[in-house]
Amino acid sequence: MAQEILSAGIDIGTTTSQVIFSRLRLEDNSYTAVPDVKITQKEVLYKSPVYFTPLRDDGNIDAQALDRLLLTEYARAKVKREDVSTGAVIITGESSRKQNARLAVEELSAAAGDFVVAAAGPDLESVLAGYGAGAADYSEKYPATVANFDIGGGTTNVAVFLGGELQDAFALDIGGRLVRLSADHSVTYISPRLKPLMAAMGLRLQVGRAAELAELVKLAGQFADICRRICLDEPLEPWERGLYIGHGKRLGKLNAVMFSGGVAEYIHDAPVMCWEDVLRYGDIGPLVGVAFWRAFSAQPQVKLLNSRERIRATVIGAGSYAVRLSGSTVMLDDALVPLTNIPVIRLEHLESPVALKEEYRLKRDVYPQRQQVAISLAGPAGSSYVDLANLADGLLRATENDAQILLVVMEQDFAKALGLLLKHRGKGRQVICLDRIKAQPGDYIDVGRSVAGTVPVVVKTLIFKS
Amino acid sequence: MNETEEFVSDISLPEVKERVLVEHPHSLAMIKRLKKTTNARLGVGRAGDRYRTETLLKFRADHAIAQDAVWTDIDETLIDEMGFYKVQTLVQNKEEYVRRPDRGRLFSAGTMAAIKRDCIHNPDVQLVIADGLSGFAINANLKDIYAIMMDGFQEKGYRVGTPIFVRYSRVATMDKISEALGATVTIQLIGERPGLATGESMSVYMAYEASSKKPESQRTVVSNIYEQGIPPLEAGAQVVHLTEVLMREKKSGVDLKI
Repeated sequence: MAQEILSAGIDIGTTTSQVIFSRLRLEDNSYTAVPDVKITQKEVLYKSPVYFTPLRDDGNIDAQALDRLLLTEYARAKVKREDVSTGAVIITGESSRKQNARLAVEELSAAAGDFVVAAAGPDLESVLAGYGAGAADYSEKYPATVANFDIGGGTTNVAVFLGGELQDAFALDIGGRLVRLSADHSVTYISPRLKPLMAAMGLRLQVGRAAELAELVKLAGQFADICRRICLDEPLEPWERGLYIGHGKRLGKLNAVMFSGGVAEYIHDAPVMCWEDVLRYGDIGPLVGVAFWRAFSAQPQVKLLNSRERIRATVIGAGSYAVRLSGSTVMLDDALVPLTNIPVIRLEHLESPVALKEEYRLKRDVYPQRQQVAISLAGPAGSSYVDLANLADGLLRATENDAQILLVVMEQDFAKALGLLLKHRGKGRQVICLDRIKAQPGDYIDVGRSVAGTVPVVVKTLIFKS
Repeated sequence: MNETEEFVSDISLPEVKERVLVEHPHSLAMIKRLKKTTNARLGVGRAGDRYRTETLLKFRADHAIAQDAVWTDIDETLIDEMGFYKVQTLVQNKEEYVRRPDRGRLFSAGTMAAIKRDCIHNPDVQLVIADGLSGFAINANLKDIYAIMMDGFQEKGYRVGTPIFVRYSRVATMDKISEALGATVTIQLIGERPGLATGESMSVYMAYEASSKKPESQRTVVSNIYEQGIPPLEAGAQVVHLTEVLMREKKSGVDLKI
């Protein structure tokens, strides 16, 4: 039995914005009366042109223009809002730091479809680009730690995968539009974040003055070399470390790397650049691309892989990979969903109802009393009825003062059983219980309406922010 | 030799199968990941063009578990503890059970009369517990699946009949019991034919107004119930859900488009 759903990906970036629609095929591969539904195929049906993100004179996102753009693209793709059952809107690059971005995107997500969720944050952006580029899939097929560098206008977003699983995500102030140029070769903009690096390199680039090609090449080369050293786990100078936005774990040496993002369109065996090529977009993007090609194609230590997508990696990640399916035996009431932006409380001390209640109380106190929260756990302490009944009692007792839905997500396949016990013992409590979902403290989750007996869930991971 | 030192390892332990026996693997991590996706004998290496000794011994140990499961009479301690009503088919011993599947589907007239005399009539849900081809499966899973099913049935307000344990039973005994007692939904827990992966796997067969006049396709089945397969608790919750579906749709098996 197969079913298809339509998913939208919308990427609002510092420089450019895009929309894609993809078709996800859900199949039940079970041969008995216990369903086992999985996403078996992801097909991109429509890719919008790459638009310049509409900005108002004050530099904020022009929400109305964005709305119009979205309407146009839905019409062009011949997609109706009500046909779109899932997907994600993501704010990427420097625009995520802009004040009105979140608001604009939340309005957009409501207009985009029922369960098209708003998501932001440099880590999530890295992760989605890594999925869209194909780094996660590669690491699942081959025994390699694979990083995807999504090099955009404002930032470079890195996600590291091993065995198909995310290992790390971080972002760097490296991008194609951090230095901008006019047609007469003069510099029109330099990102303030580059100042320490440029000073240390002794570059004399200045806004309003003509740029020397050699200096731009040197800067682009430095960007590439910093990324090369990150891949090889070689040390960075303090002014280079300053380009990290947040921090990543130290992972050691990487086996393979791929590139996505607008700049990656230039990471190939290209002829030497002349001014005409350089100035095509009025920025250093093409130069940065060429520099990365030189830095990575000339060394044998890290394998350079072709990415599946370049400028569209993030938007395809948002449209095709943001949504996960829960297990197929769960406890859900469609009348209670969709739920969006639910903070996750992770419980570890499940051994006794008393410990559980104490842990929950401490972690619950951080949030307002009326806030809906999600309880995340690995599974019951053991697999017997008594273990599960204890867990159910512990959860009910711990949450007895909460008026909201008792929303539990777990990794092990026990959701239907735990849900049954929670309903049976917690007379009248509203219960949602989902499994095969891994959510960490600090994550936010969105829960959609059930499709073919399984539940679409978006886990917005912020774990690498420290 | 020190007495506490273990010289011979226990080949029947499940973790023996988790070991990678390939010499000089290109990527140990990759083989381990592959092995996690299945309990087939992957990554076992070879000695010439044959199995290595450890693999062969493990294979034979697993086969022995399957043999034991089929040929061992079920230990009824748990059945007695739970106070189930006990009957037996026409079969007299294990050998006859294996040779004469037809007799494992039938009760004597006396047994049928006793069932009618002693058990609750016209229940919403009738439970039948059958040893089938593995009594081990019943003893491993019964307690947990039974407890959660009872919670579920109570929650739904179903009238549950007298649980009946059938010794030397094939699946079709559920039809006879359903007919005798006029049950709406009959649910049979039965030990599966053991394979080389486990001897503890159980199936649940369910039918709406189960009848010996209906074809085998009347039955809805949940199989592969054991700790590493579908956990008995989760299977029990699914059975409760399916019971609701059967009650609502008033049909079961292939007639039910699920």
